[in-house]
Amino acid sequence: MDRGYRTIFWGVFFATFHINLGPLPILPQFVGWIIVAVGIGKIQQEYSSATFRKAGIFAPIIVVLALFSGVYSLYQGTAAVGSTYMFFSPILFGIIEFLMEYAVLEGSVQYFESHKEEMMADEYIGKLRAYSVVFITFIILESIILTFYIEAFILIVALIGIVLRIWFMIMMSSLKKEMINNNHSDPPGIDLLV
Amino acid sequence: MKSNSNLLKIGIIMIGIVLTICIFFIYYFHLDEPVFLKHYYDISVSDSGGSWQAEPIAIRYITNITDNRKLVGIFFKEAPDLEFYISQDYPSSNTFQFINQGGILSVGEKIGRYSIRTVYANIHGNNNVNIDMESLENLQLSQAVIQFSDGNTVEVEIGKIVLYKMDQSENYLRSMVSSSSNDGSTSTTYSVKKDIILEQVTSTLMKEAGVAFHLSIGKQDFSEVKDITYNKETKLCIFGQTDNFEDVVSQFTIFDIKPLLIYRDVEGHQYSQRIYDLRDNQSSHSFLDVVKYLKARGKL
Repeated sequence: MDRGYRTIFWGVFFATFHINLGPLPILPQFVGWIIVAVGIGKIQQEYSSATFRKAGIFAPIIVVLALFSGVYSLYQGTAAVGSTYMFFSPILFGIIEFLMEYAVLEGSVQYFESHKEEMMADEYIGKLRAYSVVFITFIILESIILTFYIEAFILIVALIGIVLRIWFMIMMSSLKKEMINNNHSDPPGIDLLV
Repeated sequence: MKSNSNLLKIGIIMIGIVLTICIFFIYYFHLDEPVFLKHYYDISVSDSGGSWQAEPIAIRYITNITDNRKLVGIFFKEAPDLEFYISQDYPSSNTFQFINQGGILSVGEKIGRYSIRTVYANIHGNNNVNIDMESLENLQLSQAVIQFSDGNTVEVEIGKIVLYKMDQSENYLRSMVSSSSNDGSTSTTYSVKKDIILEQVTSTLMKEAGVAFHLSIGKQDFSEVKDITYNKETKLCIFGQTDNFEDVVSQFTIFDIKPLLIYRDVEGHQYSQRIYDLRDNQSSHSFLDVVKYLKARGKL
């Protein structure tokens, strides 16, 4: 399972810190989410549960949303700023992303519970709770700020979004380490990034 | 896990409620058409290298922040043959070039769901060869037909714009000191160069603008001025004051009113002088102010 978490880690990394050449993205955001979807698929190969299957359903939806968002921004340019689509898109994206990440973390807790690792399960229940509270608050704030187009706070919301992504990446990284340390690592094979 | 699944349910419900309220607000605050502010301008028309040109006329309007259209054309029903050029920026006064004509959209001042945008309507004799400058004297413009870049046109009552010919003849009032304050008060002191009799101060716009102006000549209200004698080398002081507007419509009314001061010399020759002391300073507005204004105008 460690390879799955590692793939998710890099997927979220590329989805967050994508490189653009002028207006043209070299590694578009949706590619990052495809990597995340692949990572979830890898985990499902090792440990299939209803919760991870849920995560596997949300992942392609995010890929499609990210792809559409990228094309729309490229096509509309600055005219897209403040448009109705630009209001709904980040909120819808945020909700689906939250549901997917929640499912990944909840699936991981269920994995620990099924392997009688109560301490790890409790630790990640706590982490999931804190992450959910912050993410839900973030979506609510984002909705209000985008509704009233409070420019001064748009940057703050964007920064909170980046902090949440980094937080999730840290959790993926530590889950990967847990899997390796507790002998839940994948059988030896070609260890590629994806 | 039970506590977390409850948290998830509560979170999703909360997001749903907030989102529903936000969508309600978005539709409630949506404007079907841009709302044009009321403008009250005295606009001078002057000679310009063998032709004539008028001061740029600033037109301000409130529109949805999502409105990507540009205002590209304007004409007035009172003078349908008068051709205006729209510029997104204030045109260069020397060359009369339209810097941003047809250029990128000016997003204006963003206030919540709205954007307050300004464009400049310009008239020049070169583009109106069949219109004589004399014919523009006292031309009053109110009924505007506005064209947007998507081809839509709207008819609006824009306030009142009065054109006048710049008087460049001899004058016996020399401006000495002029000051203005952000509390809306202005003062100008003129030095009188010849014995004169101040006949009256007139303005067609002061009453119509619906704004509480105070204009006094010396210690007298402008409306009471009648045949006051000023001797040579005395000073003529003019004080202007616009109140802190209590009603929201006045707060958004734009004006640049230049009442005409008419006087004669002892030989009976009549002269005139424009007074430049009644100009608004368009302070910035809050989102709530804009909403109140739109409600008062019946647009929400």
